[in-house]
Order: sequence, then structure tokens, then C-alpha cells
Amino acid sequence: MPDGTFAVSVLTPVAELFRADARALVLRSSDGDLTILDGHTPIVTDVAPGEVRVDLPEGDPVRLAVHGGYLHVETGPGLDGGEGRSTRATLLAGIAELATAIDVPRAERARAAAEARVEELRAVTGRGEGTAARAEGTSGGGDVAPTPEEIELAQAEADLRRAEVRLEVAGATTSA
Amino acid sequence: MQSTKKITKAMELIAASQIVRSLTRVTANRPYREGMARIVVEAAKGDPTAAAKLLGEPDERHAVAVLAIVADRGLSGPYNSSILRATERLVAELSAEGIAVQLFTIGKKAPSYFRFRHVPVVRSFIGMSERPAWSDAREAAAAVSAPFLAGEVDQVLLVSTRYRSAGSQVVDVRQLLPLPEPGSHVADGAASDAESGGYTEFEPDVESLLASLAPRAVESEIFTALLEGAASFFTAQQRAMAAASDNADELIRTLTRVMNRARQDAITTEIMEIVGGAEALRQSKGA
Repeated sequence: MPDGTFAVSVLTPVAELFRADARALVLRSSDGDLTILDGHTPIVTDVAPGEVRVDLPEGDPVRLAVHGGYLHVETGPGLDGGEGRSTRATLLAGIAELATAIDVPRAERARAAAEARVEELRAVTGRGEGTAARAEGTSGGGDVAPTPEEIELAQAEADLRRAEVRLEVAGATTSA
Repeated sequence: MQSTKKITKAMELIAASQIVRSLTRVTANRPYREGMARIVVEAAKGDPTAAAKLLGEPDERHAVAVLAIVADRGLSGPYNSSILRATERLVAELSAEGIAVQLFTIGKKAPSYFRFRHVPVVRSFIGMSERPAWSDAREAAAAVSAPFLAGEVDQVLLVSTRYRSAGSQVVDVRQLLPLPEPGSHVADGAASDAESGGYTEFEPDVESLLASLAPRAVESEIFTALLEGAASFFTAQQRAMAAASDNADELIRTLTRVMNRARQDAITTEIMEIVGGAEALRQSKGA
């Protein structure tokens, strides 16, 4: 492995989405933006829904849409299969996709459908923006029993967020 | 009989192709599951006190949630019944100890079994067992985690079939929540952690990280169990259908033999009658 690179893999429950030797890994956690370089201190952090960028030693960076997950950075000898001290970054996400694999028309349709649903359910539940977002995503939840409409609203909001993340990431690819 | 054999043979072949497909998914799921286990180990080391609430054995059990995973369809030999029997036994044991049980099930075959035996089922899911999707696992995980996080139950158990190899699928009971003590099934992760030996940072703090991580780990566990269950189901079905085809073969052979003998008997009798008749005629002429 060339100097200044480290092993990056993006794993989802259905498949290993991506694996490469990277120069940098750029993502956003609940505490703010984060850039991982070779030799980064070991860290476990959550990953906020949004774009994750992997800078490769050569060529264009790889962009992924990640819908919430965790990042685990480890350092130790032989972690990348090579000699010497090395860094390994593992990103775990329930749902994630490569920017190139995003179906933009489909995401647009999904966004329109989710928007309509959210509007409708917000009127029913009388809830404002973002209040139901806690029930989904990376924050656990489950302490209060929500009504079926609230659960559905949370799901619709999650759908909407996913569609928005997809479009944002796909847009970044085409404009870059 | 011939047509029955055709059906069982077809089901056998379909099951065989489904085994391959579900095994591919089991393999594809493995890195995620191991990665998840390593993070939990890391977080548990980071803050043992916070971890104690979500990890290890419960101190005492007053109420337990049990999740049983079976298939939506039958015709798979002992696959469903062995899980259901194990679950029933577990529920009976827990009840005997005076522990209240909340039973959750996945698979169409479960609710009717327990209704017949008057075991109440809190919630049952259908339609996820053959080609489980990640969202299915999330849904089921949310349902079984809720009573634990609300403090209604002290433990969540999972009864499902583990796919060890093509020849061996075992029904086992494992603890979902609190998260099982790491180390037992993450030998690989533990080894690399020992090597790194460094200080790991956490963002946000370990306690909130663990709180959000635990449901994800449960989702991952359930998803893996669903995938392995599907693989085991198809294996069991293939085996059952292969046996059924063999049976049909044998039945066809026996029936053909019986048929032939009956026909032969009829022919022999007929010949005897003709010969007897001819003989009688000859004798009456000669007389």
C-alpha cells in the first residue's frame, strides 16, 4: 500500500458496498464534519445521513449516500494485510449506496410521494417539522409509545430524508 | 403418482436454487455483522459502567420477550416444528420459573401453532422469512426492543435455526438483549482489538453511542438470523422434497408391480377358463 493511504470499507447488511485504499475519508457525524486520514487516532463515531466522500490516491473521489451508520477507525499492525502500523476505517450503514448507483428519477418520485405523505400526516397528528424524526434514524428512541400515525409520519419523514440525501449526493456527482 | 413425483421433484430443484441464493446473502451479510460486533466490543471497553446496562447477563429475570423465527410455508420436513417445539419448551420453562413471557413470532406457521396450544402471541410478522429484507429486520427489531428499552422485560431471547453447513442446521436460543457478552462469537474482532491496544475516542460519548448502537446490533442479529433461517428452510425443504421424490419413486415401483401382478392374474385366470372350456368341449364331443 502506498504511503498516506489506508484501508476503507463500507459495509451494509446486504453486501460489502465498497473497499479501497484511500487517501482521505470525509463524512459528517452528529458532532460535525470529520476527515479521516492515514494514522488517524482510533475512533468510534456515528455517521449522520448524508454524503460520504472517499478520496482515492488517483482519479475522482468516490461518493456515497449513507443513510445513517457508524464509523470505526482502528490502528494496529497488519490491519490492512500489509506490514507495519496501519489504519483501517470501517463504515457500517443500514442503508447506503454509491452515488453512481442512484436512480435520480426514482429518488425524485420518492421525494414527491414522501413530501405529500408527510404533509398529510402532519395535518393529522398536529406535529410540527422534525419532531417525529427522533423515532427513526440513529438515535434509538422507543421510550414513549407513539400512535400509528406518528410512526407512519416518522417513516414518511425518513423516506423523505433518504430521497433528499440521494438527490443531494447524485447532484454532487454530476456537477463535480 | 407420476404427477405427484413431478411436483416434488420440481420443488426440490427450486429449493436447491434458493439455497444457493440465500447462502450468498448469508455470506454477504457476514462482514457487516462482524464490524458491528467489533464496534460494540470497542464501545463496551470504552465505558464499562455504561455498557453494563446493555451488555451481559441480566441480574434477575421477571419478564422475558421471546422472538421465534419460522417459515411462512410448510413442506419442509421438521424445519418449522423443531423451532416451534423448542420455543414452546422455552416458554414453558420460563413460565415454570414464574417469569412472564412476551412471545413475538416471524413466519406464518407460528401463530396457528401457538393459538392451538393457547400460548398468547404479542405480535407476529409474516412475509419476511423467505427473502428477508433489511427493513423487515428493522421492523421486528423495533418491536422486540421496545419492551426491553421501556424496562418491561429484562431479557430478549431469539429462537431460530443457525445454518452451520449444508449438512447441519441447528435450532438454538440466543440472547438479543442485553447484548451478549462480547468475545464468544467475535474471536477475530477481539484479537485485532488486543493488538491495537490504543486509546479509542468516541463521538458522541460512549453512553449515548451505546444506546443508539444497541438497537442497530439487534437489527443486525435478527437480519442474520432471518437470512440463516431462510437458508436452513430451503435446505430442509430440498431434503424433504428429495425424500418425497424417492418415496414417490418407490411407490410407483411397488404400485406398478402390484398392477402387473393383478393383470397377470387376470390373464392367467382367463387362459385357464379358455383351456378349461376347450377341454370340456372336447370331452363332450368325444363322449
